[in-house]
Amino acid sequence: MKKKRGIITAAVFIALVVLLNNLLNFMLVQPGLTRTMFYELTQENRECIILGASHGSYGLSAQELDKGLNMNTTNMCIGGEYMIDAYHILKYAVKNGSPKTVILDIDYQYLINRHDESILFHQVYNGYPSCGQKVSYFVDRIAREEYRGAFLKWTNYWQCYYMIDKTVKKKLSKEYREYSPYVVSMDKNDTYEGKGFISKSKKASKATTSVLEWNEAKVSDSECEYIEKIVDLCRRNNIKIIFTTVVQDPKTVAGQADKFAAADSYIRNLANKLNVEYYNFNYLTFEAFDRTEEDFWDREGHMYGETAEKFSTVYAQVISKSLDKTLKNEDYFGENLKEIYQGIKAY
Amino acid sequence: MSYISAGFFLIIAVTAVFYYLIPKRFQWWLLLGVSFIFYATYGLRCMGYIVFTIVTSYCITRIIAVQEDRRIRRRWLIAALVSNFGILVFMKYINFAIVNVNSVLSCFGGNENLKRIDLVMPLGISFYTFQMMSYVIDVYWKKYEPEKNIFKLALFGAYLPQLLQGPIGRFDRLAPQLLGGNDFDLKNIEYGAQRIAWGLAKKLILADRAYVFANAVFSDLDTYTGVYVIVALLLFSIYEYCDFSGGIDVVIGVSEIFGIKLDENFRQPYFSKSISEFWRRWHITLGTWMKDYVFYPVSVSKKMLSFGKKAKKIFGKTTGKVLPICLANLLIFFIVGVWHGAAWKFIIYGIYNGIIIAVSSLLKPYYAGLAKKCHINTESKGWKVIQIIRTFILVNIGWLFDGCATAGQAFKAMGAVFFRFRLSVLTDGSLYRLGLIKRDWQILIVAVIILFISSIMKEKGIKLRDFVAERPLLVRWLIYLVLIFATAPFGYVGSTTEFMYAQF
Repeated sequence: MKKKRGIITAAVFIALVVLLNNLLNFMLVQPGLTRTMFYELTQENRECIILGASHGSYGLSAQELDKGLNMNTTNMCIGGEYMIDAYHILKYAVKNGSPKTVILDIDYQYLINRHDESILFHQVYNGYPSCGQKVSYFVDRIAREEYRGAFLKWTNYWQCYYMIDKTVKKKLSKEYREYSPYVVSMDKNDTYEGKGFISKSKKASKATTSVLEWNEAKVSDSECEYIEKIVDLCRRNNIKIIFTTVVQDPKTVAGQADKFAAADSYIRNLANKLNVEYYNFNYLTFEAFDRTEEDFWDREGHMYGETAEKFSTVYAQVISKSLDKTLKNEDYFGENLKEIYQGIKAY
Repeated sequence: MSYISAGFFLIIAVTAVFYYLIPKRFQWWLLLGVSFIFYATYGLRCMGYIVFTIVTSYCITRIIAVQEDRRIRRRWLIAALVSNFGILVFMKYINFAIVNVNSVLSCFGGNENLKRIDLVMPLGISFYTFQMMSYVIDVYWKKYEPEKNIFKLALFGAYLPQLLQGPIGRFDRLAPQLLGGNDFDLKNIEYGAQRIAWGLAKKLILADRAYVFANAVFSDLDTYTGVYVIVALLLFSIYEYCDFSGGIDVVIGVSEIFGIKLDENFRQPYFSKSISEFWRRWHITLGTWMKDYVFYPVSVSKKMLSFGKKAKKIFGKTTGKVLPICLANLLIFFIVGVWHGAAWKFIIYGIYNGIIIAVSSLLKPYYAGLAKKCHINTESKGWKVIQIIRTFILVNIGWLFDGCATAGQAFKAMGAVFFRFRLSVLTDGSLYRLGLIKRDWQILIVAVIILFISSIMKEKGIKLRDFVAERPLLVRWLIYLVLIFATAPFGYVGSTTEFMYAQF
């Protein structure tokens, strides 16, 4: 009898903790864009999926890519998306559709360091719909992370306590239930253009955040392992895969040309090993795509919306020609960063 | 998967449910399976080492138990110790040795450098090796019979909660609890959860926050001197205590959920009145291991006894009696230093502690005489407080060897205390520039006060946990909810560190 009462008491307490935790998550965690992006991914059959991190989400307009590639494209690049996250997003996409092409945009910084703003902030995890894949994603990735980010998600948002009423109102709204991006909390200078593309207004002043210096010794085995897994998953599902790196602030590239070249060489070797095409758009000639530091809202190389749309046109041409096997590299790319960026003054 | 990871807590929760659902005789199988699965999450390459330690300990103790010949028994014991400590020493110190050999060779003009060996360090090797060797030695001493079932012995060696950072358990106390099975008892769950929450609070609210500032100062001793170093050192002592004891709280709490009581590893160490007392309150299980398996055997060895006799003749009865103990202590603390890591700073740290204890033992009669002459009441509270402060300062000096990257840096930090000593640093906002903002300092100060009060209460014998457990259910629940939910937002968010001792 005592044992039974003990079990019931423990169960009630655990239920209370779970309930309170869910309540706090509901009241404090801000609606994120990833939830909408995952929803959009399953609404139509996306023929081309782009995976990557924030450079991709601000730099690649799926609308322009649709036109240029003549494919229904979606940009699943998410700030803080590591290769393990990209792999699980792709698994979800394959399960819920039949993509024909996958573009993996590789920001070398993710290969050498964990640099997300908070160890508790897992954008992909927070937006991942509840399903069987999420369990495998949890086991693979989140189980190794600190318990607060996994279970007590509100920890990262507790300072939003003053807007609980607004958050609750948003989450109870019809728009939220319908995955509308209009209820998502975003930077005031950001506009969600749909299909994963975030457009940054030129009103946003330039941030001084710069890139991490490439250091091959710091390359994470796990990131490379997941790149291989992504390639393998694509091959098993007859999906064409291409690696890219979107263009960055020319002054930053000019200042670290040797480091950028070393990173390029590392990724290119990996791509060759996996027999995947790799296009590093930092090697774009200025004739093919003219750009200045004014086109980027930080020194790290995130693009303003206008630039991103222009860049996406060029990007789509390259990818399209690559898929058709009509691409002449010399029409777009130079061979040596120092030559390409000569005359550009570094920061 | 660390002890603060989501996966760890999930594994514990699921295991606990099944643990109490299955018959008691199968419970240890479940713990064994889960322990090895958990260990495997760190990579299968590590598994070979722990399996080797278990198998050699099992086989050798079985041989020792049936062998009558003392010399053969001894040979087998040496074989077990050499092979297992040999692996530990090789894995942990081979690269340290190579670096030092290269340095010596370069002094003599050698150009050929020995290459470092790329090794994957098996997790918890220091802990499980010490634990298993205590079992082997105890069987050799005929303290108890060897375990006949290798899987049962494997559970003792690889028991999940204590696998990575101790406490170093003893077979006669731990095995019966592990293997006997336990009935569900709400008190165990409650006490276990209480202890886990307390440990996490220490780690996330205090240790991780304190480390940020201390590390920033110790990494740049050219810029930060004087008051900065003193504040950093105080924070480092908070970090050391809260990280290690917080981790042990989690370990003991998890174990309590399964109804298994592990040995305590801390007893308010910063209230110690001498360094030797500090080592009886800090990392207690390592201290008692050293005492039982190194100190006593060395002290009563023939060589030491004859040394004692000679010392008595030369230095007189009092000093002659203390000298062998001093020598044994120096040896122990040299080993403790080496155990802490493959670096000169740890060896110096060990010797530093050993010398203080040895000198204190030698000078004890003189201190007593001096106190009597100066009419100091050594039993007064004031004198005890002075002793505590004195010991705390000595402990903190020792922490410099742990906090700084090298022994050279530690000595530099000692000197840096006296440079550019500006008290205004405390009030002009300078302290906010090293990773901790005003809010962090406020949280730190409040949390330290709470920790200090709870430590005083424990020191006075007030059992806080029992006090909480005796409150009405709703009050208890409120306390637990506050502990669970307050730790999360008040815990440090940033580059949190793994539990320090999980790397040993």
